[in-house]
Amino acid sequence: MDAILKNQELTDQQLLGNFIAGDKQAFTLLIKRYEQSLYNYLVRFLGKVSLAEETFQETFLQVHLSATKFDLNRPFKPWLYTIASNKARDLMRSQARKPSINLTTQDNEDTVDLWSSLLQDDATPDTIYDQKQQELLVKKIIAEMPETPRQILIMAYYSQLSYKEMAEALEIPLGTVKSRLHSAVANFAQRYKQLQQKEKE
Amino acid sequence: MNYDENDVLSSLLQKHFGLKDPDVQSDLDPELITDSQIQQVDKKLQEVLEPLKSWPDEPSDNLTRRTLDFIEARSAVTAGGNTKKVKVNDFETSTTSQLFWLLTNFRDLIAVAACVAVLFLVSKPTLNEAKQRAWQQECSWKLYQAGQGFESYSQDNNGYLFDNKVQSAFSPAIQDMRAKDYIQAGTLLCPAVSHDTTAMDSDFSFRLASDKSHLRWGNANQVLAADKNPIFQRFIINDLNELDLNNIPDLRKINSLNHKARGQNLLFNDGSVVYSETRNVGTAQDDIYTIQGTDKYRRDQMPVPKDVFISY
Repeated sequence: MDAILKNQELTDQQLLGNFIAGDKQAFTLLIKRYEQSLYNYLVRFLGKVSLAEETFQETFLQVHLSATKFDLNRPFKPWLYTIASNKARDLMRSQARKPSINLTTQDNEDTVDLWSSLLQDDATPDTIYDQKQQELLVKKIIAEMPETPRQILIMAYYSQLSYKEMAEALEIPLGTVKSRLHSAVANFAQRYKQLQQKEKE
Repeated sequence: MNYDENDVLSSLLQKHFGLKDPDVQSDLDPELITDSQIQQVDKKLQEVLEPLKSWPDEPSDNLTRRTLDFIEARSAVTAGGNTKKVKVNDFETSTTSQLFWLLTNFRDLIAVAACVAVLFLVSKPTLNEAKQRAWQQECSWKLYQAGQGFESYSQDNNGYLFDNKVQSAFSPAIQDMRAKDYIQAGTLLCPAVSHDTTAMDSDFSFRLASDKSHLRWGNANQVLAADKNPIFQRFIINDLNELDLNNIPDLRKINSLNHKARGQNLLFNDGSVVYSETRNVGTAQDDIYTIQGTDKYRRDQMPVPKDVFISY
């Protein structure tokens, strides 16, 4: 019992280190620690609960297999999200994503300037929906967003990865994380407004 | 009041998302908090993000337990080899004669060798396919990385993929991106090719927009790059300077030689990468490799304004 309590106070890297040294309980705790957050990141990124569970398990299998190769001086969380994102992307590709689907998707909108769009009078959505309707609308919009803004919006808003963690997980510079996040928020707001207007008509 | 709008937005988003970033400045300058325009942006940002709250977390119901079972099951498959090993060791410790031991082991050795030979013959085509698939995926990954470079470049050029200030006779944007490290060395080399590529230093072909001011990042229907143009591969392999498609009609149909002409990786103008078996892509089903109505090509062919032509 003491060992469990002691493990709970350890950092992710220390837990992984203990697992490498033979402490199976440490690995269990590591999975438990990310069960809710990583699973929900995958649910939102992949859009399907069943796929999210499969990817979650594959992700930790990969961690299990590659643990000894991980540099314990680096933060664990971005590494975990990198593995999970790659597994998710592989799965999306294997789900018969035919070129015709991608090629006929109408996605011609230009990059929206978030600052200017927020200063427009009609920038913010009307709150005419109940909770369930709003949830369905948000799910639809996020599912239809292009992969890059979808991923960064989910990482930042729902998974609450810091800018630095996102930069490491996505393997891009910090400045690019910020500009991508601005674009993603603008993209979401624009789609939300468009969908609202469409439903009003 | 002077301030950088992007810095202010990053700080505001950090606040609204509740991100904890010890290495990044998160607090706004107290003077800026009183700025009316920033206050307006802050309020609107909160309203824009409000709908996101409506998507609750899904319960994960004992996922840790199922994940541990999953890992254990996979490990058991790997450990299958150990079971055999234990049996062999048990046999070694038996009290049978030396001759019997030798004969048995020799028989085992022959049986194992035969099995390996059969497995090798059966799996050779599969291994070749796996190797080609691995190459294709590696090329696809490299193209994806190039796309990341394109995106960063466009973000630093007001959304455009070409910096008009850069003057060069040969693919200015790509050269500029490489010179400024938006595309790292080696990213444009694909392991699937069998010919020498050092002369061109790239295994991909890129859309060269003659009207540079109109190529913006973000059009998901537009092919931006692909595995190397088969017409230009032919120039390199056969050391030719001119090609007439009327003499080699197959060049109108085949895909890049990178993957045995079976298909090609395509990078779209939103960063997505797709492996396609057809060379007619996009909503207009454009042929990405040839210029409509053009049969004769030169090695130093450059695009003209009406082209939807890619080369490098």
